[in-house]
Amino acid sequence: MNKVMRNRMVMVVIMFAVCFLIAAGRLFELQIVHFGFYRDRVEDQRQRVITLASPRGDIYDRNGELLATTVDSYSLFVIPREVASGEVAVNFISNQLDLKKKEVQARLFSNKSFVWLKRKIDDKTAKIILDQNFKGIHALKEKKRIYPKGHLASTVLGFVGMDNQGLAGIELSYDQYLRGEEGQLLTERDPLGREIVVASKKVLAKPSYGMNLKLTLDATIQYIAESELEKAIQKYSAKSGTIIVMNPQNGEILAMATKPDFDPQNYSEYPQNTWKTGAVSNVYEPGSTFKVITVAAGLKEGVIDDKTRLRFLEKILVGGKVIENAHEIDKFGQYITVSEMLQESVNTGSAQIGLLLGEKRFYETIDAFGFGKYTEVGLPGESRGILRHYKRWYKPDIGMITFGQGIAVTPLQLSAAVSALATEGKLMRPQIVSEIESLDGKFLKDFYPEVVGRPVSAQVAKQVTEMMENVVINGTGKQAQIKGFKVAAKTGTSQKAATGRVGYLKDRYISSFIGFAPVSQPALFVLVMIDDPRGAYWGGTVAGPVFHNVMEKTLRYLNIPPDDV
Amino acid sequence: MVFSASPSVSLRVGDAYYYFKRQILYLLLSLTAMYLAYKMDLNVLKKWTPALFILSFGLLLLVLVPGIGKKVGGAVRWLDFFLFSFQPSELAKLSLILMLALTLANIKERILLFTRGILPALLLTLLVIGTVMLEPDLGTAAVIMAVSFVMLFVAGANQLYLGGMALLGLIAVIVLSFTSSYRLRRIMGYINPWKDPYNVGFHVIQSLLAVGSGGLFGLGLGASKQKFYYLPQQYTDFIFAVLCEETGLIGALVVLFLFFMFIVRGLGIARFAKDRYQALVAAGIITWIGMQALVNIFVVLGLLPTTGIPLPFVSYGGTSLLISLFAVGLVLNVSSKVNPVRSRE
Repeated sequence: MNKVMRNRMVMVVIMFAVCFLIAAGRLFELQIVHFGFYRDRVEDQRQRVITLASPRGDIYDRNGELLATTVDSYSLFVIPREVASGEVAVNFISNQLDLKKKEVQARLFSNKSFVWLKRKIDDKTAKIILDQNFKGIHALKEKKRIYPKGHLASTVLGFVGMDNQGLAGIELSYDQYLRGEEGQLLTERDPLGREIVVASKKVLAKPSYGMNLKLTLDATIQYIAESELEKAIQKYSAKSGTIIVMNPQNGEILAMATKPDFDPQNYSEYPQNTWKTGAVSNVYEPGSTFKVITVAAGLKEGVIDDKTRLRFLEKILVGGKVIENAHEIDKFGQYITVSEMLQESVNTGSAQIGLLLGEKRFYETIDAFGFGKYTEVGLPGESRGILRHYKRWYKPDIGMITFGQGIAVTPLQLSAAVSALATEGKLMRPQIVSEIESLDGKFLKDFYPEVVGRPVSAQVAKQVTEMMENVVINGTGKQAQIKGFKVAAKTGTSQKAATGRVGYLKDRYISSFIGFAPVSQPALFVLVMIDDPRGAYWGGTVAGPVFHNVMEKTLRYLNIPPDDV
Repeated sequence: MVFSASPSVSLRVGDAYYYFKRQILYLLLSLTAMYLAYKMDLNVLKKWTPALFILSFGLLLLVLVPGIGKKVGGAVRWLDFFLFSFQPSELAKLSLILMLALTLANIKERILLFTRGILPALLLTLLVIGTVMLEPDLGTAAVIMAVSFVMLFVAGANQLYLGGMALLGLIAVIVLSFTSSYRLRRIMGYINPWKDPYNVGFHVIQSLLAVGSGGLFGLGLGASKQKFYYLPQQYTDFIFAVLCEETGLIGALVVLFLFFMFIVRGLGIARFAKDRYQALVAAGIITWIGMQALVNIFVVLGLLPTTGIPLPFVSYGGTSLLISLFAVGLVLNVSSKVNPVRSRE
């Protein structure tokens, strides 16, 4: 062992020492000097912000029956670059998911990095497919909106989109309450996007639950209304129809149906025009049902009273237009009372009331009943109807509008207006939502009956009601008679206005029937409107029996005491 | 004797217990081997060295036979046995060191000559390097070259020859680097990893991110996040990056210090070894282990291009652990023969 060797060994140690010092220096540089830079880069590459779903609030009817709720479902997606299996997978999936083979093929072998296979399927189907262990097919748990009662009240409830955002009906107009706030979670992923086991999770924002809504609707009455409407539409091969059942005392809507409707869970399979809430968005000429408003206006302004005698005429010339009666009436004398005019729905008679009123006073009363204005019931797509200012009325309008032509209303507007006659002249705001309640009880909102106006006095309201009662006893509304109950009602048959041009369509009618009961203490208001019935078109004939059935069944269901007792 | 404890398996972080259990098994096996090496008669070893060298060289060639060698990541470096795969280049390194120690010890003063001095040792080295290159495994070849060079240096070879060799070696490395596309890509990734962070630069960047984000104290043992598929070879070649991420600058410096002390103490043993042969055995082994540690750490820190050199005692790998601990046993054996009087000089 010589000295050279020993010295050289020391030199090797020194060489190693230098190298280790370099390494230590580099460590210091990376871990201390540039620590912030590397920490940020590492976080950037791993961190993902995940949206935490906020369960959407439920919708109940007035008795707590569930109308809309949210459940867990599964969405299958494909990472095409992971897909290995071919034909077998395509066949299996297309069978299970009821998709075309071509579609499945396209999704599996797409050149995108992520493709939805099918969203929101039930857990059983998802499990069957996942159990096959096809490479590249994954599942994600998602919330799915379901409507336990199917079509029931669909035009009121509306529906939600794929991301559970309200798109129609209550779901849309109360979306901000139902939706809740989405939360955000910060998590860490590996390069394949899988969550790291030791990931540090940080909730950036807690999801807040959506609030529950309680509607004024009664599922049973809604069912009665919908099935009667369905039957009538079928019987008369009508185009569509609407029924509204309201409590006139407080404006609460107990049922609101428009047919044809849709299945909110599969709304895309139904025509778009079925999605809207027809009761507030469809505008039509009310026809003779509007005569009750005319009579109320005349009585209010004192131009007529119960002794006023109107000339019975075949024709009357108003503003250069000949107004005729819609049907032949047995002449019972040269003169008729206002009640008789209403009883037989004499157009020439109501036109005379219009002439007595004059445009200004007539317009003001119509306006006071809420026509031409939103009811603000809280449903999307509500229409104001068409009520032109009296200064812009055409010459014949003062006659025409008295029997509901030249004016357009929504079913709900008319319901609210006529209900005012059942509540001593108080116009109530229609209500569809009775309560908003958050799960933690932090937010709670009740809706109270709201008087929005007083178009006529209690006295006038009582007088009109008596005349409407007479319509049912002696006139066009006999179909509405219910044993034990006094019913006040009015029929309507209006020619359909031609869209896009002046005039009316031949042989196209809207048959309607409105009224309330029991007269001594009105508890229910019902509106029936059948659009374009075939075979028969008179309001009394087509809409009358529907009104009768809905009114009678609802009175029984609610145990409303009869007038006679 | 601190260094027999430095095979710090506890630092290992496998993502499943599979590797951990196997590594424990290898550790028990390796410790046994180390004890045997510690107790064995070095003269017996001397006698068997040529046979061992021929055997390991044969295995090295066997790897290259198509169908026998196991291909991992584009290179054939393993032999697959029933229970474990064996990396012959590990055994070849040790046997070459033993062989060189034997040769260089015998030539004594002739060390200053070329043909009658260091040429046989050079030829042996080139033979092994050439075979390893065919796998191809440039990293291992470079380590072998460096170890042989240090052994020649320590043995007292002429500085002129050594300088020439160093120059030739450098040129060889450069030429070889540019003649293979995969090596070139690694080198480009080394020079500017950020240019293509998702392909060429990916390994280097992920390693730097792991080290850098460790900071002073690290994320805590087991808390590495880069080990989840961001880091390639996180339990072998890049285990030091995980260590830096989990234990921070403190832990990394402790490991550097332990390795350095291993070298200091190891070469200290070599300095005072009983004879020339034992000194060269100890020096060769220590240089080899120290060099591997250094190369591995430099790669992790982005100071050298990526190459598949494990971190001795720390990385997962049965062959590596077995051979290195056996080698450490030999150093301990040399240490036990040190003349206590001389060592106190």
